[in-house]
Amino acid sequence: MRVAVLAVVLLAGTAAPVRAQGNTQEALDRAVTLFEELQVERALTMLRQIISPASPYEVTREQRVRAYQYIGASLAIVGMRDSAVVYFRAAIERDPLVDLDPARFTELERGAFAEARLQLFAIGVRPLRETHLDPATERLTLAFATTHVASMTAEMRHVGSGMRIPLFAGSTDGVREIGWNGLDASGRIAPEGRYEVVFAGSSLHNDRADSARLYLDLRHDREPLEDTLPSLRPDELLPERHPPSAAPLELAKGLGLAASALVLPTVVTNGDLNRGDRRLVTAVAGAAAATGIVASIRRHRNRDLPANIAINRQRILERAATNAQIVQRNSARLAATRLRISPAAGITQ
Amino acid sequence: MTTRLALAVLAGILAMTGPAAADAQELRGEIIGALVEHRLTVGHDPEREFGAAFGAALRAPVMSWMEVGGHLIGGALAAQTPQTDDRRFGELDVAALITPFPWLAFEVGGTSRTWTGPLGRQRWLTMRAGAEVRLALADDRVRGMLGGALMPVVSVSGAESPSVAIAASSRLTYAHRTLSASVGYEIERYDFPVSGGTRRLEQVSTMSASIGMLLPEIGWPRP
Repeated sequence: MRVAVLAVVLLAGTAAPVRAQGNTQEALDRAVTLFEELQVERALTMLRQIISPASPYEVTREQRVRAYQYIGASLAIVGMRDSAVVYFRAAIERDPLVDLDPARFTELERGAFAEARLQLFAIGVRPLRETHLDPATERLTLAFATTHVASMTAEMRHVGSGMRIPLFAGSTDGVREIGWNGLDASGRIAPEGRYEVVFAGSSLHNDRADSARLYLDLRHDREPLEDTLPSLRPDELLPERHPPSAAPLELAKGLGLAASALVLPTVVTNGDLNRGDRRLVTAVAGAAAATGIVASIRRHRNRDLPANIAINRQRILERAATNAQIVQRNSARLAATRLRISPAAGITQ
Repeated sequence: MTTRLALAVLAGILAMTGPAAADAQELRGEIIGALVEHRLTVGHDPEREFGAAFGAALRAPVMSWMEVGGHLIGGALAAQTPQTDDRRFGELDVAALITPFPWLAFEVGGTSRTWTGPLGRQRWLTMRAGAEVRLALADDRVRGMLGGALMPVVSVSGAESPSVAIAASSRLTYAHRTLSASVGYEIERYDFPVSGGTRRLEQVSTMSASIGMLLPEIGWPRP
């Protein structure tokens, strides 16, 4: 029950401003209809009621800009040009992108509006919509406007790193659209993160300056990139040289084999047969000893392990080839990257 | 008879190992040259003969841990002591080696040997079991071997079987690509039982050298 009551109270609280805006919009629509029916005085009265501080209804920024726009036009029609310019300025200050449609406003009204635009300087930026962008073929369109001819710069700033991407520099007048291909200043795909787009300009008609900011979030839409293989650790490589003890060990093996060969017949032979011909076994023992000496000398002179060196080289080459393939696959994924761009944190002026 | 039996056994073993050898491409043939000394005593001064022998051997892996092989060798020995006859001999040997570790091998084998002299022909048939320790030198290009064997079965035509029959050997094998060379020494001791107050003792010592190579692939029929 308490929940139901609370819900009713909340609904009542939110419904009131909506209805108030609705009343303002209805009044504004009626005033515009009167204006178009050339009932300028009645339209003017109704428009003034809308923007009056005494009005009980809530007026949005867009509704106020539109009201100022039609008040200015009405005042221009009734010959109050200076007042018309003041209201037009009020409209332009609140929305630099506002303009008078030549199909609905006369030359007189648009002349006053142009004068208002010349008297102040403001930069407006068109809000951004969420969009997907293929950097290879598409462009993100950013639109801004100046109230009159001005020298402008526009650039993107990565909020995290401070990296800057210049977008525009030059003179412009009125609405201008610029395209961004999703790349940073070095030609790579811009990193993910939040960006601040700064539009700054100074009037070429007077010495006024203005700036506007737009915030956007950029995300990469692609398959995740693979990590390349790390460098081979020492324990992943075979030793490429024999230890210093290898040469003495070879000698010990050869001499040990020779001694054993000499001892064997002594152990096996029957003493009554005078141990046999020692020359035969001595020849084999001598060969074993000579082999040990030669192997030891060779090992002392050259401790390289060619087989291990070849295996290590093969492992290094295989790792490099694998990394090259990973880099190739990552490059393909990067090339296929799409950017997901969404507006963030509103526009500040 | 025993020689024929041994030949049949060798042929059977090689036939069985053929496909495996062809798969492994490691059927190895060797040419053998040897110096042989034979000593014999029957209660008096030892008789001694010495001479050269030549032969050939075949070895083939059956599995990664087993090898079979055999050799055929023959030669003539000249008497080196008075009242000693020259002799000729022929020998056929077959063996199987099991290598559980690179440094250790066990062997079982049999030898049929025939001694021929002026007094006639004597056939020996021996069965042996032994082990050998292997040692690698110079990055495994050289292998040293020391081995010993017992011969529990020795049949000698016209004589009793010896009561003691043992053998010992040492060998060095050098390998380079498909070629190999080896030099080795082997000694066999046979002590016969005392008979008529005398005891017969025999000993054969051999220094052999061989040159071997891997044989070209043979198209053994697959089972």
